[in-house]
Amino acid sequence: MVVAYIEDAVVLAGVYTLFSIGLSLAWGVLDVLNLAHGAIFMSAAVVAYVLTMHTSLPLPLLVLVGGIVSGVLALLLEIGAFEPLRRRSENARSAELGIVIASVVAGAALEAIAQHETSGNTVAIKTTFVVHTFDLGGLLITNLDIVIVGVAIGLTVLVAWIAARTSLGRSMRALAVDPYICGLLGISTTFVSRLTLCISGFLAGTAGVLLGVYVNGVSAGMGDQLLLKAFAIVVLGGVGSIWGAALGALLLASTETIAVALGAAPYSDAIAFVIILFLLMVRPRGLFPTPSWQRT
Amino acid sequence: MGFGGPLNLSIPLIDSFLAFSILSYSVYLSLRVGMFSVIGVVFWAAGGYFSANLLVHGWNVAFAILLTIVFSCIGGAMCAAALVRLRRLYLGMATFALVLLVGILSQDAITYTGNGVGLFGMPAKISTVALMIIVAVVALTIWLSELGMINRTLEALRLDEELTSSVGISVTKWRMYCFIFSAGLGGLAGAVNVLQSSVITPDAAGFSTIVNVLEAVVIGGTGAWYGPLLGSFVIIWLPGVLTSFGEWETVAQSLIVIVIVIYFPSGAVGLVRRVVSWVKRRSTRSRVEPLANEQDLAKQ
Repeated sequence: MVVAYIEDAVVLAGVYTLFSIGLSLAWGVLDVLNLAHGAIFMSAAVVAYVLTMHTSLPLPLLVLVGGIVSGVLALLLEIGAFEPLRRRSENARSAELGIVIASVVAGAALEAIAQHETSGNTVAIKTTFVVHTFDLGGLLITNLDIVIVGVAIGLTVLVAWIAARTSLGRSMRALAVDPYICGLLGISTTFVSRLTLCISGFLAGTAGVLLGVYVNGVSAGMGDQLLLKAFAIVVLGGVGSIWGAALGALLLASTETIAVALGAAPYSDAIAFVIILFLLMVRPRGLFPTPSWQRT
Repeated sequence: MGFGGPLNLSIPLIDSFLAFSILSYSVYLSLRVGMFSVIGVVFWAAGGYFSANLLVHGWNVAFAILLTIVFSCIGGAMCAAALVRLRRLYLGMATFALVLLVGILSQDAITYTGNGVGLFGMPAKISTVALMIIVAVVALTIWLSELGMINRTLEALRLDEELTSSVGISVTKWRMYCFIFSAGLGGLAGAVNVLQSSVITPDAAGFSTIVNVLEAVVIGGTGAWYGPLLGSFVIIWLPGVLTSFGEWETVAQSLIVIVIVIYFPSGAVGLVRRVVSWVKRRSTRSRVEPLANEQDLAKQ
């Protein structure tokens, strides 16, 4: 019984990680609090549902398509709204505020479209993926669990490697420190910003399809709840920190699962908020604060 | 009950516009001093439930409203003590989290929230005239804060906190005041809204309220006291106009707001100012023009 809860927590943590890294990257590198992130995540799942309305498709293809759809959506948001806002606003603070408002509104639009596509219902993605259950000495693991955790770990390591070891990662970190100096150093801030949001969207999209298949349900509102959990995770791990986000996701997922196990299921959603408020008060820079130039 | 006409107004529409405009003022006040906080929405919902419970138990309307304001100010002061140190996006996120926490509690704390479904059918109602008076008082207060010393202080807070504290203004104290005032306005708006619509549901503390109020403030503009009034009116009135878009109404509205945020960041206030200055320029030009002609003649 306890083992089943642990398994649940680990799978949830995988989805949370993919989702939160994207949010954390956009915030840490670009100072963008992207409130459309939840809607972008949900859009991938809805697109996967629409694609499989009449036929079943293999899971890897769906995950890839979901990631690309969300990446493109995030890119469109950056090009269509965030970039002009940054260019036209008088200072960084008013740009920040404009970006929050533009993203929350764009999220509402995406949700309205999704509401239309799903007719306001919870729908299921049809995939050719067959779920097998393995019995590992009392521990029941499905191959879907393995896929989700594998994709989450793989993509997290990949993004962390890009941020830490490649010249693109160096550019991203430079952009986080100072966009102006970054431009003087000959880095195309436009290109790096676009790519950062694209990666952020891609991660959210894969998470969307995986969660949609895992819980066998897709609805227009599925991103809202997750967005707030991701806030808690980002605050836990520190803004812009990839490993912090992964650890925060594991912590939050475990706490929620423990709450469910103890029979406090209705309040498990409130845990995220309590964490946010408490941590912001006592450790506003996360549990493991690092100087901002070390992040991402 | 509609008046018809091009604006297609009705009494319920005007009532909800008036109640909503107080909420817009609450968020407007925070944004004006450079605090990104939606604490008003927290008490729009919490104060709404609070006053609804009072009303259901047969309290007097004026008393219920006053008590809700006191409740919201005390709650606001408690939140302010915890949150006022936070800056920029962190403060915004914390208040967002508070809104959604209230949303969850209003579904779970079933004793006071009608089993989590909401409270319906308030025994009391508020007249449109009374609503107008309340909104006028709020607008007047905000207008007064935009004159003289207070205006300069608030403007300084918005532009540069370090500079503000260097000239002897306590940034934390003023931020606290604005935060608590914003919470109180939110509570007032919530109480009035319950009286006006005689309904309060968990939706009050949700993303849609945050979206609506931010849209209203953006459309109105944060430059002058009449911004929230104009913005709230547009937000309440627009869905009725966009009905021809059917299901795509939200999408159309979102696109409009994004264009406004990017290209007309000063909102309706900026538009009004531009029109006023254009009219002024025209009237001065018509007076000056003959003179210019004389000069031309002299040159020839």
